[in-house]
Amino acid sequence: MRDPGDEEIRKLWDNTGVVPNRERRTNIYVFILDSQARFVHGFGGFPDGAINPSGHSSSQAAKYFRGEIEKGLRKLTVPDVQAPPSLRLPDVESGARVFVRTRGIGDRRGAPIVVEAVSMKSEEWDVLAHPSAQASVDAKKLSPWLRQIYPPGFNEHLYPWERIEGTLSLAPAGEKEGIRWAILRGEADLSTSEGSGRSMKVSVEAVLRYSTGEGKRPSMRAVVEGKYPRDDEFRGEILLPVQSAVESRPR
Amino acid sequence: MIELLFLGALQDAEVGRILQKYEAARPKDSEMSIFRLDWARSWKEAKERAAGEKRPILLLTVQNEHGGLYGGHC
Repeated sequence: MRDPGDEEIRKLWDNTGVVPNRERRTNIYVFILDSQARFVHGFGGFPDGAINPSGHSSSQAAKYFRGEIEKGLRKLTVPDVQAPPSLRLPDVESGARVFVRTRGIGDRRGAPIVVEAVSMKSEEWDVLAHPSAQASVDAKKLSPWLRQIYPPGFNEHLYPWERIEGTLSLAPAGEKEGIRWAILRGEADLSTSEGSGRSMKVSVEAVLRYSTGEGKRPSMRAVVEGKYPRDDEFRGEILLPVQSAVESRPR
Repeated sequence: MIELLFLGALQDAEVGRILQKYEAARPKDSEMSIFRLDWARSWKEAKERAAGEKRPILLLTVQNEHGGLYGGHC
């Protein structure tokens, strides 16, 4: 978290006894606080005092979290549970929402799904204005959302892609009942110098919808796919399938 | 005219194909249950809501250079 509360949160780390000394420390700690933000209970992010998730399945981790949360709740008086809130995904007033799914790591279901919401200015949508004929689009111009398409949880790749290169095509795809359509497609190279450096080639396919009266800014639904290179301790370099669905926001 | 109609049908089919691919790629709500939790977007909001609603706070902290638990890149 990056707000003035950081000092108060730091005190939870330093003064509650939940966080052990540096040699035995992981980087995730969970605290249960009462309604006045006073410490009640805390625990490390992984079962059995582990410092990383290896050796524990998702279900073991879930059982551990549930048990620790129940320990904390037994020390509190909590109001009756309301109906669970409806789904509230990360969102922005104007931009795109990027879903990233990575296969081949962790449990059979793969890594946790990433949902990033990125803001985009009007001028960043201009590159996708309706084309009168097939046009080229510099993939770099799509970087607000392309740069977010990387797996979570890899220490060697913490930041979004640094470089986006490639040329895609944007072509009109008909008009019906006052709605115009276009298709964006092509390949892009995403790369970073972080760590030992890596790159991933992706294919992009997107449908853009232009309604009259809504200016140049389209609605977009895209799919981006690639294979992410990773060094596996036992298997050498492996390629992990990455698939992303991207949707414009607010529509 | 027949060529234009054929091209129109092809374009419709292609738009439909990509939209179906997007629907298949977009995670189902059931896969994103973590976003049904009542998240606060800041420490300030969490404290204010906890005090006002008389509810406890579950605070997840991560020491990282970049990213955030909320979106998943961390």
